[in-house]
Amino acid sequence: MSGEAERLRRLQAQVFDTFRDETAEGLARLETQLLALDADVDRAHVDELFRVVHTIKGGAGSFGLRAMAELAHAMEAHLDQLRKGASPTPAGVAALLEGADALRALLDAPGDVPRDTYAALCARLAEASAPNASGASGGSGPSATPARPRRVAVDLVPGLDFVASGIDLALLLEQLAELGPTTVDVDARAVPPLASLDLGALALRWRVTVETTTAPEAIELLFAWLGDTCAVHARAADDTRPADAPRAAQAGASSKAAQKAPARVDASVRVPIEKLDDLMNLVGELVIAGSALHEVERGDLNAPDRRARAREALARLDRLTRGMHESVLRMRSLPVGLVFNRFPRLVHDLATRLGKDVRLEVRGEGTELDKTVLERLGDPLVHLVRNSLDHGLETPDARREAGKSATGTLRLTAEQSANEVVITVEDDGRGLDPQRIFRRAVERGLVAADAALSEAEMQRLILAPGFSTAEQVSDISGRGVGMDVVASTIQALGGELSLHSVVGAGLTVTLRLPLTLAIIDGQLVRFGGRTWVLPLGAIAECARVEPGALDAVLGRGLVYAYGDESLPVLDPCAGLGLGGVPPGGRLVMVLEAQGERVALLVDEVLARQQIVVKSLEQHLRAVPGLSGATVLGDGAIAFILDVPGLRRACPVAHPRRVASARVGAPS
Amino acid sequence: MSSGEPSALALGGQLVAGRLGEVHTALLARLGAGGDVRVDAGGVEGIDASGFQLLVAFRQAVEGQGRRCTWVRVSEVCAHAARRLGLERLVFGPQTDDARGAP
Repeated sequence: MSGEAERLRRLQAQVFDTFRDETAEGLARLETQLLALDADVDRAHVDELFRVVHTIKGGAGSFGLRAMAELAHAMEAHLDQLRKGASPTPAGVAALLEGADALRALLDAPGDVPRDTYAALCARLAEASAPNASGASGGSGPSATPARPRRVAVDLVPGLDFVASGIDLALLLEQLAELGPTTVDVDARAVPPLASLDLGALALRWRVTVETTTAPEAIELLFAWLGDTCAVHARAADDTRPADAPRAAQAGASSKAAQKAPARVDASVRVPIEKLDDLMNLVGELVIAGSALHEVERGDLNAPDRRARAREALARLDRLTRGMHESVLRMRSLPVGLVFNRFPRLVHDLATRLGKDVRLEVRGEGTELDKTVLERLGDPLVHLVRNSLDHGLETPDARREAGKSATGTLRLTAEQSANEVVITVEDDGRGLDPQRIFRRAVERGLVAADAALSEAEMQRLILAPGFSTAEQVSDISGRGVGMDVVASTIQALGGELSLHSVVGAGLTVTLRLPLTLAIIDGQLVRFGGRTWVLPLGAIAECARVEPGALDAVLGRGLVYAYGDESLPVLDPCAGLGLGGVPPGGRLVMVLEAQGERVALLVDEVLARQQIVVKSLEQHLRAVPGLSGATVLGDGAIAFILDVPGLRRACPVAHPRRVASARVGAPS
Repeated sequence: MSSGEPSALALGGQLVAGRLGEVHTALLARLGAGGDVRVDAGGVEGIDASGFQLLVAFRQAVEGQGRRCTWVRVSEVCAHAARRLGLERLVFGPQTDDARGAP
């Protein structure tokens, strides 16, 4: 592929990525709005739904995604009926929700989808759109009085990457023509002379005058997905104010300066301008601090305060560097709402299936978390919400019998507290039954029948792998897998999970998550001929193994005496696929994870240092015991060990694999 | 065609982004040759907005020199694309309908 063709392909992929991101956001909004449609219908609400679907339709059409465009068109037609005053019906809302699911599926796999894949769904939407399909006034009521069309002038100004984007401008014009009769004028005044014409940039500008009932602002929103690829400015045709479009028009002209504008990066995070301003301020201060240091260097070498001034300038540089680091990390932050958005639909569907009446309250959606933390938080939260609906919240009858309101409440809250974000999943259901937990634990041989358990021990039981008190296994929850995985995931993210239950009143699950994962305090260790990183927070003790300090327990392998406890000694080499390299066993690290301790044999303990965490390649993510990787000062790669994962992955060391002098007599 | 008329500059194939380099060169050469220009777009099989922009720039350059630019043929594909983009008058001028399909 030639360089030019490759550049075109990359640019097209970038524009499509923007479309995909914005469509995904639009679909999340659509789903939330559709669920609210159950109870509350107003014109603005339906207009918003219509705009979202229309934008998706426009984008899909421009990328030639016909199945997606046609499905969006069917949804749009149904929403148009609602705009004209028809009442939403359960069948219509269900079909729209199904349509949103289908659009999402098409977005994930846009290619190779036959146009008629969703023909049945489109037919159902059309049926639901028929004027007699709802209790609609069907256009006879006052709300159905059509607004009077007016002339709107729409300027389309292609940006620098428009040609490379592959977007067909004629399709944009056709979308405008769907709003009403149009006339098209093209302005060629900005087209450069033939000799200096840039064949990769469009300097033509289109003005489309459309007679429509759609407001200019709504028209701009319809094309918002184009971003800088093509500026779209709409205003009433009799508005004589100059269009805002020249900003992009200047970008569209082939001036050399404009062509040096920075290219968009591949993976994008939208950064609010104030965060960039913060960073710019810090960079400005950094320049000043650097100048101060140069001053010191250039000044009198024998000046008595030279050393103090140098120290002061260095301290300032340190502060600024840390500030810049934090500033950049903040740019990776995204609102928790991106994850919370999925729950209205989930709760609606599950509550309907379970015959429960549940009100979902969401608070603190704007609280921000690191992008990586957020991406991995979704599944644990889904599990907790499913658990609440399936086991926590009661049916309306059971709630009334218990003296509660028939409607249960599930509350999702996020808030920032110091350097962490606290997320709670709280329900006012039946809470955890300590007697049932204890009984199940005894049945499974996890505790003695006469044991007296503290709240912490009870919590540890609930989070134990495979533990469940559910009487029946359902496809919603209760298979006994999940809570331990939830706890492991949160711990792998550097967070903590805790439970607070009041019998008959409800359960609160609290997740404490670090604001960012990007840097951790790590301890470098060596075993198996490699350097590894242990999160410092997971290390309880590091000790030299004295002769005979490890006990060989028949049938259980080696144990290490830690206070009153006998901790299993893990063989990391065997667990991490380095089976041929036995651990030297000179040192033992006592590690804590999820309230349990294990001992790990290592050969050497190296430096403690701050570790910049890099995520693992896809094929390595499945390896238990690894949570990430880092590049060390010498350029070598070291894997970061995940303590809960190690506990699962590593077998207990066999006495034969450890130097015999360190192992005492079998007991 | 009368013997006094210049021969037509024939455009053919795809006049689309990424494939305009040769046509650009040919148009520049024709511009340098002087005299009125007759363009035959009967062989155009595909054209997009950037292709039309090139033709607009050519026409402006010719007319800017006080010369005439006329079209002897316009393929159906080309005419349809110009209609969709609202560019008929800008590219072909008012004589388009007469010229379309003419030999």
